[in-house]
Amino acid sequence: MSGDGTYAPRSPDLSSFRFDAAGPTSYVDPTEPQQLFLPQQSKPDFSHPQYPSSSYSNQRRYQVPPPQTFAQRRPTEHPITSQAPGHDFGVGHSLVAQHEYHPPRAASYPTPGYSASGTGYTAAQAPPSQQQQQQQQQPLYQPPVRGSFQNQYSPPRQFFTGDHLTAAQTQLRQPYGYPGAAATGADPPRDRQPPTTTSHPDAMPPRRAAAAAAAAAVAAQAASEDAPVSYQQEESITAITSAGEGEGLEGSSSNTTTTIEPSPVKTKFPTARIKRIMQADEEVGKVAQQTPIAVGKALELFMVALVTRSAEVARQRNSKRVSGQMLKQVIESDDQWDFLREIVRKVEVDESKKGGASQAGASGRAAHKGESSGTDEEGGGGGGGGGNGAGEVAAVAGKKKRGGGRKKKVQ
Amino acid sequence: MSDHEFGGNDDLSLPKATVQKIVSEILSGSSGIAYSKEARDILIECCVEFITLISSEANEISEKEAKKTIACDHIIKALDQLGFPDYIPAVLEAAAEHKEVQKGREKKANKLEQSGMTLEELERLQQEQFAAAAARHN
Repeated sequence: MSGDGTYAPRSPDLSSFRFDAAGPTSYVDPTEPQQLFLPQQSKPDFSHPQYPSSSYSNQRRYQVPPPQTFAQRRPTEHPITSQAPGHDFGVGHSLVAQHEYHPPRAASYPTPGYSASGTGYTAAQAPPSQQQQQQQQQPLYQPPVRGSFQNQYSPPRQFFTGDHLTAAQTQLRQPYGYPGAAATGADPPRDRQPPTTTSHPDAMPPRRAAAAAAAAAVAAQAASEDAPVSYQQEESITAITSAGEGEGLEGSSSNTTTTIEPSPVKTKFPTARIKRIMQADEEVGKVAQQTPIAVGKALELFMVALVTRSAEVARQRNSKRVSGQMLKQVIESDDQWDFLREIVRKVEVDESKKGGASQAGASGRAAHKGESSGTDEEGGGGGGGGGNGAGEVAAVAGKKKRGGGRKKKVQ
Repeated sequence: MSDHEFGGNDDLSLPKATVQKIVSEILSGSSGIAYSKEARDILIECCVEFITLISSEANEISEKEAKKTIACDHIIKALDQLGFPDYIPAVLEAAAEHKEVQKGREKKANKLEQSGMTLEELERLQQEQFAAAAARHN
């Protein structure tokens, strides 16, 4: 360290001096011509006052700086003058040099390499071996700077990968996410993509095209398995009912549509909470990371449907306030929500206790409730009226209230 | 009863404020209609029930597939089987979005984007830091 300060000013002499001391062999002439390139990039650092002398001498060994080039370099190392000479390095060297060189070079940094990521950067990245060397070296002499260096240093990779993909990404930025989605097994939302799946491969890079093709296949399979008919029905229903989902959903046969309404809901449920609720059921074991998010989204849609419908009921009744009763009415109006009947049944009892005139719209249902209160399972199933799934659901709800293992009986 | 089951145990319910916020977001379009407290509480119960329903159905599906972990796929299938196939596209999109966010931004771009600075600013900062480091070492 002591030599550093002195070293910088009188570099040529000192460098040769050091060499002899540290590793005499490395300073031998034969090595110089080969490594002329490397020294150019790395030299600046060594001569910079910051760097500890020990690391300096180490690096010298394999990257022998020929005295002449070293002398040339020296001026650039001075922080002030560095920028101008920095550009002299040329496109190929410039970036690599910058990495090593940062203290002085920082100013000129973005111009050749980063901002103009297209040409300069890829060129610089091309020789990987050089960079690796530099990476290895950096820790040695850069303790103070390291944090900032990494900040600077990580971006290049982005740009680099980005360069390869820019052409594809500009076109396919959005579609990118979808193959993955489709691979999860159902109809992928393709509204942002070109209308037909067949057109994707053209625009996509091969890798992605393959993924998309696979995804499309999976999606088609899933669609056919999962009764696309009900799909369309449901979609049309939602299109009518919820104002937010205004755009019509075309058939799932083409795999193209499923316009996803811009959800009015910006707030997200806490996924941790959702996960906890899911796992409150002892039978539920591990839950994938994405699952609570999917459930949260479904829950959001569920809420949107429930809330908008109940708001409609409130409007019909000229009420500004959605009461529990209205919510109950909505829930009981649709078999889709029959698993909630157990909840609203209790609710209504509560409400009638409170003196709400809740029975008004629900006399018919009240009778039904009387039945169902006898045996929750059967009542729920009968109330569901809809096929298999509905009965199951109601039974689930019923059993859950009793704290029993809910699924086994149903199965 | 309901209070005992859900309201009492906060962990197994949804945060009321969040639910309220979402409700008002949903209702923001419809002229001044609000949710009463009781309706909101019922709604929360319904939401919890919905989650439980979906997860138990998904759990069953995953068991059938001999999987130990409930994946997004199982949720999709559960939604389909339980009569909510219309939710599937949006759920898929949300999952895909999340996946992409996880993958792409967090690992790569975030450092640059999160810094909220332009390259020039970062550069200046770096130079300052270099200068400070140099000063420290001399």
